[in-house]
Amino acid sequence: MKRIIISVLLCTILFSVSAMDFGLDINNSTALKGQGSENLSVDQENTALLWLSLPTGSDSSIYVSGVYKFSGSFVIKPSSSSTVRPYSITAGRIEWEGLKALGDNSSLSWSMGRINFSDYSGKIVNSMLDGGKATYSIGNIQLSSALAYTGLTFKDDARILIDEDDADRNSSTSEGWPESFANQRLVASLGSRFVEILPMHDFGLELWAQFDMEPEGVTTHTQYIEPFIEGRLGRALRWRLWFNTELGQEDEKFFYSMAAGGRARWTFPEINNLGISASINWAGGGTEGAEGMRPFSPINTGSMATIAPFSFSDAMALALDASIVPFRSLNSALNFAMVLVPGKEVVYQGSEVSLRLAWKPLNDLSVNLTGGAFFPNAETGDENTEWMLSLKAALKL
Amino acid sequence: MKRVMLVSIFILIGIYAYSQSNEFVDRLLETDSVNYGQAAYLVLVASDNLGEDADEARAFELLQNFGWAADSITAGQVIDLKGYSFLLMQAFGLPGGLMYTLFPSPRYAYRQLVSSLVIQGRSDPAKLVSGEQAIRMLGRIFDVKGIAQ
Repeated sequence: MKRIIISVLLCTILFSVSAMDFGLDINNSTALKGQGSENLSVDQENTALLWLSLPTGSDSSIYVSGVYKFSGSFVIKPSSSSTVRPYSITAGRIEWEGLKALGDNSSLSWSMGRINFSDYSGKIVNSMLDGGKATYSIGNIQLSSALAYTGLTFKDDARILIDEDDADRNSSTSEGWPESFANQRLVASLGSRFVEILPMHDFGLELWAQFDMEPEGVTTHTQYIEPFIEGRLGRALRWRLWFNTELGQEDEKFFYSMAAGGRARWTFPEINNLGISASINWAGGGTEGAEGMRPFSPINTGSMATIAPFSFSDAMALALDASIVPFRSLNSALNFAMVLVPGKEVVYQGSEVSLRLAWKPLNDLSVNLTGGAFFPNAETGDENTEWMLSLKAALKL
Repeated sequence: MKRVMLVSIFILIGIYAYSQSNEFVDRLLETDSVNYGQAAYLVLVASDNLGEDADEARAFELLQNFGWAADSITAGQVIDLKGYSFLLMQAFGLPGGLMYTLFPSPRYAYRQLVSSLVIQGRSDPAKLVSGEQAIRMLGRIFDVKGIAQ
């Protein structure tokens, strides 16, 4: 970690007389969470992100950032010990990116360093990892590739939960190397996108794979095949649909799973930027009688909904979302989602309602308020409403 | 075609009507790096801080009188993106962010104009401003002013 700080400081000094830009972003996040009348806790997180960026020629630039983070979880009910991490210092986004024209009709863009990797749906992988990605565009065809390593990212940030080793590592409270870090995996992808291959519609195919590089324990490799289509129908409606087939090998055993999602969004700029969207996301479970089929296991474990405690595996969410901009600096959105688990005896698990208010009065100051509750179906045996209220503020110096 | 488009922008913002400005725009469009004198004339005339019959020297003098350029700067010195941003923000009286309000300076003026998309594409605060870019930014300032009002 010292090396990261020293590197940031050295860069600051070395480039202080050049075209460098730099800044400090300060963020506060406070979340009040409860379940029924018995559980109440406060999660507090404060970060200070020091960044600098500088051009490296006319086609590329470098961005370097380091993050200090304070985090604490304070249990109010039932009274229990709280966990506080006074500091953690890590690299934020560190990126060398560029775009080079290769003629009238083609270009090459690239990005290397600690950068965000995401598949089309954002459900398979969506995390800051260490590696590189490149996209070659020719005419209306885009070809992309990416390669990344997960083992230098904090486990809480990467959230890799593919096999038992990952679950053990994730539940371990030990700190340091390698306990605090995500399991070692190599992530690779190849992708293609055909822009407007149909009028106002793009079609694409992405292939993702992760290779388990842990020297001990269970070895689990997985691959993902993700075709997608998105487009616009008329002026107001945009829609997208994607499907994912997962193939996996755990030691000698083969398994597979599936996931899919879709969204339709209507926007009406003339009515205070009103937007209404309906979406469905499904991650398959282990179907009885289907040998080898397992609950879907993405590379990064994400959530199925905002508050409902369901990860993107063996569950389905049907959601309706409405957003409006009542005045220029305020964006508000109301969301309703139903969570289903098709393989269970009680399919309907519950519904959640959430409200988001994003206020940005100035370009360097923003405040976000999110609140909502998940009402479980009483037939599942859980009658405790889960709720959350979170306040985030950000200031860019 | 690009030239016709840029001149059209300039007509829209009202300066091209001045006969003296006609020649000025021709010279500006051929410039790879605008200097303080040219930037001062362009922005101060467009913001109605300066009359049509003034010249670049008078514009720069006024700029320094307003305190929008340091005393050490000369009219022939090339202006960078943050300096031009500060000039635009001050001349048009645009509201900035919290940091700009507390510490009005070229650095935070640049950030404000990046945020409001007046500066687009790959940029850095020390990048020199071409005549074409100066006029494009001026056109977008009028858009921002329209929204703000």
